[in-house]
Amino acid sequence: MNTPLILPDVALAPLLPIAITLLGAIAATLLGFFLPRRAITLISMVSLVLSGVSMVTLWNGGLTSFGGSLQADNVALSIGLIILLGSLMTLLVTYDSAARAKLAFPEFDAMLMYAVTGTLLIAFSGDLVTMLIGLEVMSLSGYVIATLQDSRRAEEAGMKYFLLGAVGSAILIYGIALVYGATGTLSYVGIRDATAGLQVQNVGLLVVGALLLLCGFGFKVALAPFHQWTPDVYGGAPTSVGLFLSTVVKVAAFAGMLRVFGGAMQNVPAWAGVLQVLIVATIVVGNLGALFQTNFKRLMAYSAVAHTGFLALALLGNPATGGPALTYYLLVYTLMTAGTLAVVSALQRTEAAFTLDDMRGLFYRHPAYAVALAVCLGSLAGLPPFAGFMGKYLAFQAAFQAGYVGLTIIAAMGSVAALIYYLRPAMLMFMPDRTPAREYPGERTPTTAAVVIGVVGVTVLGILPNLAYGLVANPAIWTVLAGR
Amino acid sequence: MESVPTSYYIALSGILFALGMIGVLTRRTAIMVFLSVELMLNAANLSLVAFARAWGDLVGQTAVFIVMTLAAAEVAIGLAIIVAIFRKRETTNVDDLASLKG
Repeated sequence: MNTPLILPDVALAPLLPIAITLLGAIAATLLGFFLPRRAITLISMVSLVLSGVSMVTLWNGGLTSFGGSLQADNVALSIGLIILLGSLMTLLVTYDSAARAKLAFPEFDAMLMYAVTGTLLIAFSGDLVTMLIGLEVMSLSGYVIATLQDSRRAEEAGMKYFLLGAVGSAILIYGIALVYGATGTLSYVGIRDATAGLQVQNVGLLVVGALLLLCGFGFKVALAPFHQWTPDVYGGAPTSVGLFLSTVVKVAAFAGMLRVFGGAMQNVPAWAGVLQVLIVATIVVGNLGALFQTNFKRLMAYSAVAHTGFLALALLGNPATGGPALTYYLLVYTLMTAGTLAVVSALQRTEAAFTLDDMRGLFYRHPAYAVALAVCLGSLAGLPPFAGFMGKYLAFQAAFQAGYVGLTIIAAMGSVAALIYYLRPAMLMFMPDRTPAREYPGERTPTTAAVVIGVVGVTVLGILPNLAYGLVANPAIWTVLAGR
Repeated sequence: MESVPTSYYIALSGILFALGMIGVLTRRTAIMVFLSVELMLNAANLSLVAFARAWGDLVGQTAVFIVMTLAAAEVAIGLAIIVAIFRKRETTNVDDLASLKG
């Protein structure tokens, strides 16, 4: 007797946002032979905007495809929109700074678009294999763009990023293998159902697999003690690349953690306890490291590590409160980090040096940039009128409500200590200084546009947080993180 | 015919993974670090295949193909980066990559 052939359900609509960025990447690869670099950057920006439009049309659709391997629910779409925003700001910055950074070839835009495709795949993933493919497409493109500038600094940064990223991926894949061994499935729903009530035969295998996954993700999001590559990579790579890696790539890795730990493995024991320890280490290491930096890009790298700790707090919370908190914080984090690094990119003369001394008296030479930088730094420090405050507050609240009182207090203390290193450059900028201008004097309108997006974003979202938070606050979309 | 129990495969894959990890932590040449990472990936592949056989399901086997493809792509990019470094510095010793400090 013949069994009927079952055709797989291949709905293309949920795939549309990813397909558009992939087409943009292919267009950038091929058209690079015929068109100037700026035209390629424009085409990439257009495909990002089109992908965003397609995401908005899919909003509330809750579509899935490929038997649940790909899900375009509101979680995926909201994080996808944050990714597109961060990528758009990166492209705006590279539009004029790429020539100065010796990155003015179409391959850079192409690799960036491939990385965006990978990040979207992680956010839309419905099983561990899809997540893994997205993570690797993102990471491999990331290694290339970190190395692409022809300089010793960038090559060293790229090598470190590659070696540690590859180790992280290998640990993650081994974790996937063990989780598969314990549950017999790779899909998030299957893992969630198999672990509900812990009827898994081999709990040890499952726990070790979950912890290896946590270590692998730790490498990608820069949780201490897996953060050692961060200052060298963010500081050594060109500023626009550092901007991309510290915003878009981190958002995507957190999307993967949210899907895997908030959705598939919410019933697995032990990982939350280990994550707590990692968060404490991350907050301490990030804030202490940033205190003693004189190079502003390295300071921002340690600040990114410290923010990883605050972001991961939201993962510990109940998905119904932690999910929207994480999404809102990721959006705000992207806006303020990209805004800060866009200012650096606009002002720096060389990739190597933008030290805190260079910022002395900046207000008297470039008042608008100085105010923008002060707003972004204030938001990063978590000062109340700006959105960084709301982001931290929501993350702390999510962890506090889930019963992590001590951890929340440690995080709050870390965030107070962070005031010192964020406000030091802000104060230096407003000190009178008579030395002549050291900043880059030329044309940089697109970079300024990215700065404006960041500053307006953190200010508006700080005063009216519900503009973004209200869209994702519905707890119903966060209780089915793994899928139905 | 007696077949080899799954636990034997898992033990072997665990040993391979540990050897790879030791190699990553102790080797100082970029090529050898990279080789150790490949060993870790192959350990993961072995356990995926063994688990797929134990569960009698093909998903694990197909995952191995994807992991192999990813490893190949990683080799291409990794060796390109190592060659780029070697052209400028005439060394791939990771201890010599220490100009970024602070």
